[in-house]
Amino acid sequence: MKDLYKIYSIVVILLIFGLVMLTSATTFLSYQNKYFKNNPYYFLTKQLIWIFLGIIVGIIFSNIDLRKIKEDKYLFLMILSIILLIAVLFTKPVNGARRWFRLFGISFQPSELAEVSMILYLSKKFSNIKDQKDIIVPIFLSFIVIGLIVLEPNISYALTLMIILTVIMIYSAVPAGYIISILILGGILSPVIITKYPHALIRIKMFFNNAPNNSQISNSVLAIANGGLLGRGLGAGQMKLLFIPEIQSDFIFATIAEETGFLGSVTIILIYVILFKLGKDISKKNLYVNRFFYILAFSISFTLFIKAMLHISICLQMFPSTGVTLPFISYGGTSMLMNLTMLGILANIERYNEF
Amino acid sequence: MNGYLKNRKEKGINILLKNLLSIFITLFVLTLIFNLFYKQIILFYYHSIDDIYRNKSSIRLFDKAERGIIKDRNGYEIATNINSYNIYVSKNLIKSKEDVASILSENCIVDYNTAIKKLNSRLEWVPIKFNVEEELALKLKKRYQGIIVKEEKTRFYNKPEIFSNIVGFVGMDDVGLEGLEYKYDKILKGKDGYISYQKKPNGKIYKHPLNDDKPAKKGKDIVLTIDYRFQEACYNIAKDFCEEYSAKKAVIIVLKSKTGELFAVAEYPSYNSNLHGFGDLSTYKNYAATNLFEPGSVFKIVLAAVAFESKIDTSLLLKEENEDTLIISRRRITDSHNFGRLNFKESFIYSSNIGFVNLGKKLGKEKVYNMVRRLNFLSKTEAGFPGEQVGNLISINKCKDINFANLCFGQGISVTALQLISAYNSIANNGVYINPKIVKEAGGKSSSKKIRKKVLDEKVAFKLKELLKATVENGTGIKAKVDGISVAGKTGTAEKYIENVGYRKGYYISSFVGFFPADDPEFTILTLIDEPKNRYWASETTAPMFAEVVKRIINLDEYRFLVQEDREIIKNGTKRVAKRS
Repeated sequence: MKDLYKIYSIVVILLIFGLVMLTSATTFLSYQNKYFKNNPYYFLTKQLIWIFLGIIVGIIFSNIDLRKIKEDKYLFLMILSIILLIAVLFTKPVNGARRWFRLFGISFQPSELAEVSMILYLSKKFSNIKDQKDIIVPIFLSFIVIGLIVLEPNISYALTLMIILTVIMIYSAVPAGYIISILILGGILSPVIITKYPHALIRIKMFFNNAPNNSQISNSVLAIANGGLLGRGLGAGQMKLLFIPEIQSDFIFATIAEETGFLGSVTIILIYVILFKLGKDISKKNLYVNRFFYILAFSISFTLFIKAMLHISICLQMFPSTGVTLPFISYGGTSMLMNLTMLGILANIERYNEF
Repeated sequence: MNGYLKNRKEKGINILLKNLLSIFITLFVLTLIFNLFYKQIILFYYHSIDDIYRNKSSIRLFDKAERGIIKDRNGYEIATNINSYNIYVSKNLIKSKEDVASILSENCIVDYNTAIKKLNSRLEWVPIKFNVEEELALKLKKRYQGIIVKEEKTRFYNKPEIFSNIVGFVGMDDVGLEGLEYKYDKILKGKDGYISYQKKPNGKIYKHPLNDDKPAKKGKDIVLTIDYRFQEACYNIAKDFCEEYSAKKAVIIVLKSKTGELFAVAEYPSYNSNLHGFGDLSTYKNYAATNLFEPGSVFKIVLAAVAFESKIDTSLLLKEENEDTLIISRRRITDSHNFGRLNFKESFIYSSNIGFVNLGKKLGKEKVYNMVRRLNFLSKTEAGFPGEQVGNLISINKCKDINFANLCFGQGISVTALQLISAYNSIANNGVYINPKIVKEAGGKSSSKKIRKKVLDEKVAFKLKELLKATVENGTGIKAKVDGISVAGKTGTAEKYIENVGYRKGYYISSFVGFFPADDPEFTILTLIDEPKNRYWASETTAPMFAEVVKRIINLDEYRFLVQEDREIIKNGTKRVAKRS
């Protein structure tokens, strides 16, 4: 339980810090823009609502005894995700991509749900491998999910899921042959997919050309670099003043680095590392007790960790521009909901482990 | 262990993959931290990325500092500032130079090529044109992003011709180029600042609380010792005399005897400070401080001073009845006409060259050279004018008989008008040399250099004063006399030495230096006419000019007491007790 409280406090710190940074980053943006009703607290209000919802869902998940849930429930969740991902392809595109369902003013991203379903399903399947089918089917279903996300298109997210899939396979000791073939397959498929999507290709080209025209990326680096050691002070960043698009979600770290400096940025990285470490500890406790929990706890903490690191490295221009959110900090309803759900599952594992 | 994996242990390759994964994760985190370190510490502290950042997100609009005002001693604003519309281009805000240039040329601000040339300069903030008409300025305002019309303060001179030789002028960008504007530019110019605005990615600007402003600081004021009434009167007198004698230049300097404060330094012709850059370039220089000339007979005061120090009596005979020419080294020295038999005093008041050459022979070079140095003819007066010149005299070793003979009546030495008047002022001050000053206060502090030294014995000064009084009473300075006032002074008519030509007939500089009231001088005055035509003798030209200046001064209410008190002296025959009521 001790680890769990540590995790709770870390997440609470991240949430509060995230709200502060989100407010700092978005007040001007939303005040300026009619689309956000010229309300400087537009993002803050919505984020608070989602956090509230997320906490409720998290509490629910932490109270279900996962051991009693049958494998087919996870399969069902996986198939539901696939259906939703297919359905989302028939919506009207926003900014050239079909990623959201909009219902009563609330937007929902099925790909985020797919991520949680995939983690749950893969962990369940790989925890009890009886024959080859138990390996091939989950990989196949995961590929369908990833493929559908590519079609949205959201290539970066698909790549993130690809990484998660591979790491789960490594961690659950799936025979190395499968892992290596997936890596090879990914290596072959990625270039093919990327060339199919010109915007991704352009971003990659820009990245290698030191991005002279990609204002999004260079402004983000400019913002980070100008944090210096101690930062410009909360609220005093300037690149958030409309220079970085999607700053509230995909580039929130740029504002954090700008306003809190090198010390703040490194602290944030270390917090995610600690979170990952605590999750791993929970996982290890289950190694000889419950293999499902062993894999699941690791998968969840790894997912949260890798998303954070990818987000930061994208802000730092180490990877081509993609849309990966910073868990517990970035604005985004579904992602906040899903992250808190995963936290609930992690709490669940720790709690039932005690009995 | 379960099912499929039951029989097999975790294979080595799986462990290897797991370890590789851990290594990858660790490396990834370290790379991130290192990358952050590189960007936030190295880039930030060593590569001034700050500038790129600031230029991208905000813009600083130049805020021109208002120049300090130049006032006279009464607070009259000689150089002041008026509102004007100035046009700038902020290159940071414009999209295309060509568009801006064509808009500027369409509105007749500047022609297309000039505009392009200006826009291609390395400045970010390009001044295009100053002092644009209001109508045009308002029309251009907000016409095009990046063209900025600012209402700013620009230099304006009141009565520019009268004061131009003193204050000088500023250039188009309000930088002092001449006169006191140049010399005191640092104090006057203030500190330019900026006002920052936040920029939107599309280039539009707006005010944001993050913007730091550094408003311009107004320059400090300068108060001159000049009295504008004196200056204006002297300018008008100089103008009248200059025109009457069709002269090249007429100069008047009025100095407060006891303090060395310059009340007027007028010259005619002068130029208009508001229209700088036009007219004769040589007129930009201040004549009184920068023009060197051979003083002529006014210089005889130096020999007279040496004579009194050598205890030579005024009755000493210096010229025989029919001695009308002296020949020294085959050069002839003559007087204006033969005065007959002259003693020392008569030689002085009638200004006999022959008498003074003879006096010089008795005194010797060393003593005369020494006096020249003591009366400050060989060093600057430090009055506060830029580019002040200093007197020239052939070195004593090279000084031949003919040179020395010339020196005895003020030829072969060149001085400035300021040096001359200060030397006379030390006689007015009973032997104390006080340097002239033009600036009373610069930036709230008294800034002029003060020189004060005893150069003559009080008794010698008294005797010199008597000589000067006599000169005005019955000598060559008779036309400098003013009713009700005792005046002391000396005329000087010098042959002008013209570069590469030598002394030429018909080219003279006439001058008169004196002070009043003679017993307790209030003002020391120099009048000078450069190249007077028709009549050139100082007794006919500059002496009446001097009288004119004195009359104008005593016409002013606060100086009327000088006349009354002098009258009392005449009536009672007693020495004045109270100096001023």
